[in-house]
Amino acid sequence: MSEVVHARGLSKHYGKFEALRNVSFDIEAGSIVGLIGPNGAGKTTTLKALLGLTEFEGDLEVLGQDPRKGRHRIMERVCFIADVGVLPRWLKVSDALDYVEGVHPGFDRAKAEAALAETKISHRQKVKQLSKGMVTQLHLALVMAIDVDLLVLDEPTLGLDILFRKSFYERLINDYFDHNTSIIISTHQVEEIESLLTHLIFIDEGEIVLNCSMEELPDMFSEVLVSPENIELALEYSPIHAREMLGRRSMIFENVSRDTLNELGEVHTPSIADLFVAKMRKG
Amino acid sequence: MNKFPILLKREFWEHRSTFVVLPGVVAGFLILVMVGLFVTAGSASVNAHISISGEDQSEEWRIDADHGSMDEAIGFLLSRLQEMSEAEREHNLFRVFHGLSVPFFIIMVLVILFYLLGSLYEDRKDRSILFWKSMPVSDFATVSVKLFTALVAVPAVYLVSAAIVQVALLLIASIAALGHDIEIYKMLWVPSNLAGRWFTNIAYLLLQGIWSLPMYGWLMLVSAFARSVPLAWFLGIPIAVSIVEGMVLKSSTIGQWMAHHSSPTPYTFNREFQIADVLPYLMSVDTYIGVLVGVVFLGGAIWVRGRADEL
Repeated sequence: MSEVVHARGLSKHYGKFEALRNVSFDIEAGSIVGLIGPNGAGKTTTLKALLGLTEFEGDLEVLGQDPRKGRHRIMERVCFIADVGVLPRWLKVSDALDYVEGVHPGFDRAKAEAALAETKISHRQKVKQLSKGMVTQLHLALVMAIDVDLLVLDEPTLGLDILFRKSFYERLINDYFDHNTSIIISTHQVEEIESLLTHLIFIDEGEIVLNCSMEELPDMFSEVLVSPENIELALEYSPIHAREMLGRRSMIFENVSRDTLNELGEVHTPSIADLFVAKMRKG
Repeated sequence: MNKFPILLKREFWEHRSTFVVLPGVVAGFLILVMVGLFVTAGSASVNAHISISGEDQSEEWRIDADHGSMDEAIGFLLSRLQEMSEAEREHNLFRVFHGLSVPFFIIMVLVILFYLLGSLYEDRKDRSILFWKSMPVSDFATVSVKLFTALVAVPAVYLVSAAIVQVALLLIASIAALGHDIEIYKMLWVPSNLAGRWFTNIAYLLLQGIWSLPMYGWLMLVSAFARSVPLAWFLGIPIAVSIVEGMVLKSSTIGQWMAHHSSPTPYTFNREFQIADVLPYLMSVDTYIGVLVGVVFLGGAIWVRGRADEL
């Protein structure tokens, strides 16, 4: 099994609003994919489609199955965290542990309890007594204790403070990721996950605007600090983005060879955040 | 792995207040009142007690407050009990014990109704459906467990609560009778026939569940698809169907059928229900049609649930 997700021509509309337009992509086993886009771009809709949580048109296979037909079977091998705490308010922490243990064959209770021990969450508390950050911590503790093939995280750290976000991603990589698991993360906070990713998908207005591996990125995109005398020349290579930086002009180019660009100024690979801004403005 | 036990527990966690606390409180309250009546020998209490036991009995059953002491009142009641024929004794004791279970049944029906109406709606409203659906539990299992909860688990809790109150009354009555010249076992325990009554009640509640299956199925279907105010859908569509039926077909067959299956079987107020009465009900074509309609609704609820998203 090398492909975890195989999606062709996914479309979804809410009334007249087209949330997804003919979206196609593959996700390979062992990859960590960042699904990045502005609000309303279709990130959550895509993830929900993968999990059989919403209706859509098109062909989709997740771990070899159509999520519309066998959601509960797929969920034995997939975990999902929605953007904000969706744990029911009446649920007690100890009951939440019992529940996941009772329904999920891949749940390691000791692991979840160890993760909870590092937080201020007590087993006797109910979800409604927890702060928003604690609810997320609880949800993460539950999900990260499940051994699965695919982990889907939709804005997992939204509303959490920076300390927790840092430790969350460290744990994700060090404790959880073992190259048999694939991870899809959607987020706004691009810079926080930049170093983790193996693949990048930009989505805007229901369409994929970029889909590449992090290894391909330097070949495809370059950022150049253009010397003032070269600006006219640089513009001829149609940069996809330009901005003023410390009195110099920074431009991002797509599919222009580095040899050419080296003559214009100092070349390096753009950060995902800058690339994101460039690609989104273009559309 | 067998997920059923934990899924059933989940329902009880969510609805602890109406599934466990409420029947407990009602039972506790009734027992407290009974104990209070026997302990305090005030004349007002004597009156209250007599009216419970005597119900709509003729004049000779009544005692005036002037009779005074509790002991005297109990003695009077016991002597009346002894004078009765065996059949009469059984009948009167049954009225008392059945009367004690009626409040439980009424509350239970309301609890189940609102439970089912919210069963596939509340988690869409609070978005927790995204958590439940992220677990490897099929929509069939989800709907089945909720139906089982309504058909078996909740009635069982209410039945046990009513039974506890009945046993408490029997014990209190026995203690009260201790000082009197009466064969407690023969005059109270045997004719009360509590265990027999419980079996009848179990049979009745199962029958009631099967009889009400179309309504239960409809409740769950509405709960699965309503985007707001499921109660309005639950009542509105059947009422609309009845009105259209009356206007277009000039008949009321469907309307009456719906009303019939959403009201309790005649037993609730028929105190002499016997286990044997279950059979004709179970064997009737009307029941089969009801079960069929209920199953179709439940299938619909599973289908809609499979496509359900947060609201």
